[in-house]
Amino acid sequence: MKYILLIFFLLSLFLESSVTTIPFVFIVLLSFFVLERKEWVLFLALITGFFLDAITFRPLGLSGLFFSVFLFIVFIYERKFEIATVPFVLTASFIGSLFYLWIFYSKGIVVLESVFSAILGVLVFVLFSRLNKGALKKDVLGSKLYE
Amino acid sequence: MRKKENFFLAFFIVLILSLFIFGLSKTGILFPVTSITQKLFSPFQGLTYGVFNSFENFGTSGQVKKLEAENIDLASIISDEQRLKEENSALLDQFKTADVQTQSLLPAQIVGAPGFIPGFSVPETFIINKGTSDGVESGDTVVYKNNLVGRVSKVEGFLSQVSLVTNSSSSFTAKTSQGVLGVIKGQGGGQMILDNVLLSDNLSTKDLVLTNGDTNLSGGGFPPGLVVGKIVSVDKRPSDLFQRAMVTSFLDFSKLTTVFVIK
Repeated sequence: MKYILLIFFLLSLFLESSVTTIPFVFIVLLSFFVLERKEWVLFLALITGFFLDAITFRPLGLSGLFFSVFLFIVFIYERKFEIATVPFVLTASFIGSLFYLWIFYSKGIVVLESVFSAILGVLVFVLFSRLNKGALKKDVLGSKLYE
Repeated sequence: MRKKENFFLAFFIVLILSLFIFGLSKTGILFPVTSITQKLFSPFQGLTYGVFNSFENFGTSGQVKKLEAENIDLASIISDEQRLKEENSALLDQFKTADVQTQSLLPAQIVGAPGFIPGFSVPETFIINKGTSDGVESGDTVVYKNNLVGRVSKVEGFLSQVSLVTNSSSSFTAKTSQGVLGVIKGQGGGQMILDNVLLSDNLSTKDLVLTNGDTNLSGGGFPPGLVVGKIVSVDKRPSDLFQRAMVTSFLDFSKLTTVFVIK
């Protein structure tokens, strides 16, 4: 799983910096966070955000700041909602992408891109949950989610 | 409860670290770190862009590609002829001096062109694999053959960001092949308009639009005679103060792989 995750992050980094404005890194981070809910995902957000900023000409630390704040808000909502579900990921991806695109690419077709990002977010989430299902069943939190 | 406390602590550490990095990057201390990261990642960025670019070109037949290249060459020839005419006229008059500057071209590979859907959306910016280490400076003109691509907007050690001529923040003076002056304004999404053209001037479709060569207060500007595009439609209303025209570039920005920085 670790290697798959690394490939996903590198791929999303290269895609976002080279060919598209769709927030791939954010989508992958969010999908992974709702499944894992571990502190180290925040540090992962900081590191990937740093690399993303460096290769997309943004002030360093800005993407990491956005990612960590958004993941923190998602964590707060954990008590009120079941976050590892398709409707939550769809909503969170849409809202997060909307803010992300508005902050970093305010001149584009922000809403349409956010809708596309939300759909993509769900696909990544479903893929991650299927890949991670075996590992999660051993975990108390995960077993509640998938049984 | 403990899990929550740990998470809060981790969040505050990440928050402070992010703000610290942000502050440092604003002072410029992290410039070498950024340069090394860019140097490390740019080959992979170029590879990703190249792979997507080859997918985009997959459906285009050889005949279409040949015609597109021919079209760009013909536009360059017309622009050269226009320039020669002006130079000749200037020499004959012995008043104007022909603006023939010795310029060197620095080839640069495009490693990034982020747009919504690759191949369909026209990007607003390019990322090229040349930076301050190659002598690129902010404000440098970027061309492909004799066609204007854009201007270098941000420079780092090994990469630069180029704002395309169609970028919504792009604005500069231009003239048509008939000598009509106006202002080119980028509209985003690959669109440009030639605005602020006097109603008394004659604009017609298929007229070439060239850079006028004006410089701004900071010394920046485009060299004269570069092809911006051709007029595809004219919007002239007697009630308006100015007339305007839609301009299309001869270049397909989503298919470019190499550009040249004028030094």
